[in-house]
Amino acid sequence: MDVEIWTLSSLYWTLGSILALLGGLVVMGALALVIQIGRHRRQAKITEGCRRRVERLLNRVQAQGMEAITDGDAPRRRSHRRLMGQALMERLEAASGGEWERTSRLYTRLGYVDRDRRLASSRQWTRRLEAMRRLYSLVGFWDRALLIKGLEDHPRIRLLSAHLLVRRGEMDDAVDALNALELTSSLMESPVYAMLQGVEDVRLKRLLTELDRIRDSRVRRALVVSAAERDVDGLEDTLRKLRASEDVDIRVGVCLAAAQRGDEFAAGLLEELLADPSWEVRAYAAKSLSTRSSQERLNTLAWALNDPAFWSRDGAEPSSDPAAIEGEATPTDDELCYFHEYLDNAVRWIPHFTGEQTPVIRQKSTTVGRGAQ
Amino acid sequence: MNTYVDYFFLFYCLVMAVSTAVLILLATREIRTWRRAALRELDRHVLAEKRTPPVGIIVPAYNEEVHIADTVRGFLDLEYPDHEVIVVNDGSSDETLKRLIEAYDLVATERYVNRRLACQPIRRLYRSRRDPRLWVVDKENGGKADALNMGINVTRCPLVCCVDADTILSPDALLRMVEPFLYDPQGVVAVGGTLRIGNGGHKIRDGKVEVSVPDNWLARFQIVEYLNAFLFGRMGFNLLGGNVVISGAAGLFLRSAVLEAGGYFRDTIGEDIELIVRLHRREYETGRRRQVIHLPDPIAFTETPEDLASLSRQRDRWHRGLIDTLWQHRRMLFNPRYGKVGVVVLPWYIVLKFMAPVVEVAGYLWFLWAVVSGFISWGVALALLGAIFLWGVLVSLQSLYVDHETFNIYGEASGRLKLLWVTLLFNLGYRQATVFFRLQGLVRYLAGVESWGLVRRKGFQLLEGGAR
Repeated sequence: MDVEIWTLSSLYWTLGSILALLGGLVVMGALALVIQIGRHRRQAKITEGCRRRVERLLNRVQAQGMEAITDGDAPRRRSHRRLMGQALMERLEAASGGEWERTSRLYTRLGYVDRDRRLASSRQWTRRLEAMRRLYSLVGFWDRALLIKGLEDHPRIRLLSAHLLVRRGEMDDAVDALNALELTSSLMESPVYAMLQGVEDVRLKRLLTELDRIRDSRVRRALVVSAAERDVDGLEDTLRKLRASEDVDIRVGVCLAAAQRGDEFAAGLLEELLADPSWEVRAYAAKSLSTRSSQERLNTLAWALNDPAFWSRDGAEPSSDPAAIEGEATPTDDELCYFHEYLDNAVRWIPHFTGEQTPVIRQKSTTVGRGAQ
Repeated sequence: MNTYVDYFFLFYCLVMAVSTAVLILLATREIRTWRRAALRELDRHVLAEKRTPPVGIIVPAYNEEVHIADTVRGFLDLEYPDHEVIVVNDGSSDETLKRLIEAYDLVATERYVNRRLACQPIRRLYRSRRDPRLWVVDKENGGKADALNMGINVTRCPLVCCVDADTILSPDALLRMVEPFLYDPQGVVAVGGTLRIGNGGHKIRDGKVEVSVPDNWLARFQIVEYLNAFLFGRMGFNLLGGNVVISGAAGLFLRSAVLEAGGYFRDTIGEDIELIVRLHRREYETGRRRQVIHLPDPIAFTETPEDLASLSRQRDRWHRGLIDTLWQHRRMLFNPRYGKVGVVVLPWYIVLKFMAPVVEVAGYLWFLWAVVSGFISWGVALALLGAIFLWGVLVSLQSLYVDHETFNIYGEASGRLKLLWVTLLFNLGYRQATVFFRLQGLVRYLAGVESWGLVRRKGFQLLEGGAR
């Protein structure tokens, strides 16, 4: 090709068009930014007005009841309605108790719940989630069909739906909700614990009877531990049964549940679990026992001297809290004695960690056999 | 010959413009998605739940005596139910350790440290009597990567947040960053957030960090540059599933994944980008496909260089880090085994990041030569330059617009108008200077230079009316 592209006359036209287009877009962009500043200022003013209006309406509700609110109290203009909804949600997030209830009822009365219900069926999952987030925050919101549908939706919508179904739904729906959760890591258990925190004791006990129907071992674990935390009756049989489970997660859950109880049954169970074939279970059992009374603690430390798993030994480690070091909570001589032996054994493990050799562990006469790591 | 060179430059400009436009579209959608998807309603449950995964904040510190006590206070005060702060004093030659001992009443203590990641030996381990969540490791000097490895070894938390000693995290930073780990069944190995510039001073009001536009023009240009990089580049790649950069100033990692990957490499300059690429690589090689996520939320504030010499050293080092990472992971390039990261993202970095300074400088020179030799007229030359300039302005305007519409941390109109001016001037000199610094980085990489280079900082300023 021997034609220089710069000499083509069409180039001038093309370049000129591109320049004009870009120049126009830049001017429009700059103008849009200036308009945006003005719009935000105006919105801030309206939002402030909406906040004051919400305050007035809430005062009226408190004084005269919900009957004092009429359809005319909802803003007419669409943009104002949206900002009023936002102001109500802000208020809901910050409120609790009676105020939360009043704000929720006001939100419903002004017609926002109907809008959110419609949006909860939107084609865009982010819109559905946004609507579900708002509905979730309301006192007493209930729409079984919507929530059941939510269990098959995006994981975040699923979680919010499950929260409500587990707390208020029929037992079958609650079990379905728990089964809809997909906990692929132990980090994901935390929202399930949070969900179960909000469940009443009687309901939690009923859920515990449905334990066999729950498929995910992490969810089952969370249920058992939450029940133990709340000291639900009849947990002993369940724990005894689950102690023999083949699932390590469940056996760890038994340790965690037993750790919540200060009785002899739990201590015995934890001591049994110190002989578990899984080092994770042993580590949790040692950790749980190490926080108990002195005699149990000594036994734990005795185990720790011999356990080949680092975390089992570590679980039984006496506190390295500076307060303890400074003598505010002085360990007993026996504890210190065990601790020094413990450290001594730990030193022997150093070559193992550096890959140089396998250590020889000093055995204590008080120990019994246990599985390998 | 001239024609082919002309075509090459034109084609390169087109690729750059089209890819930026695509990234803008993807990023705008992604930002909207993440804004709607944040489950703030569950925050109070997460905060109240004692089983929320503990986070270990690792703060590598080398000669940070001036600010270390304040920054550690900021980390301890974050809204989160269970976090510890591990400051790793990397053999500082100043009084960093002394300041910490005085401010937090540190006492020497013991803890088993399983040194799975290679690092220099510990001199002593301290714990605060004032706040037991604070641990300080005093160790031999070994560099930032070495100090981070030590911190990861010391903590027992399943999540580690690696930060710089001069970073300010927004109060809800950990809550926002931990969300994907709690709610995403696909699994996550690392989460980063948008880094903002705090040179103009900051204040915390109603749990939100507000910053002012700095007086220094170099810092102002960097605001626009960071917005382009974080809001568009990284959010766009998020949607493609292959974000490869999480800023070293603030990132949350799954500790087990980092340990499995071998931690930070100590012999690379860009240890942060290298780790992320290695994490991606491992996920593909093991068939797990857990994600690296970048959040649009402004979670961290950093101080940027305010003089050209420091800026030059910083950009030079960043570019050497990028080249080093691309070279170390060259097997991933165009390799379908590594999915979108291998086929789209890394090649994009090669073409539009690694090659950009070379092509851009060569383009300017060729252009000048063409004008001087009479291949093109001055009119056409100016029109082409104008088009490139306007395109750059348009991209920056778009970043600014999206930022104001979503996060709006420069709330006041005066600050936003100042930034509007900055977007107009950004492409007149500043961009070209950074191109030159990056070219310098390439030359120095080829020459085998491995130094970090000192970046002069003056420290953060707390504005009136704000709380720490």
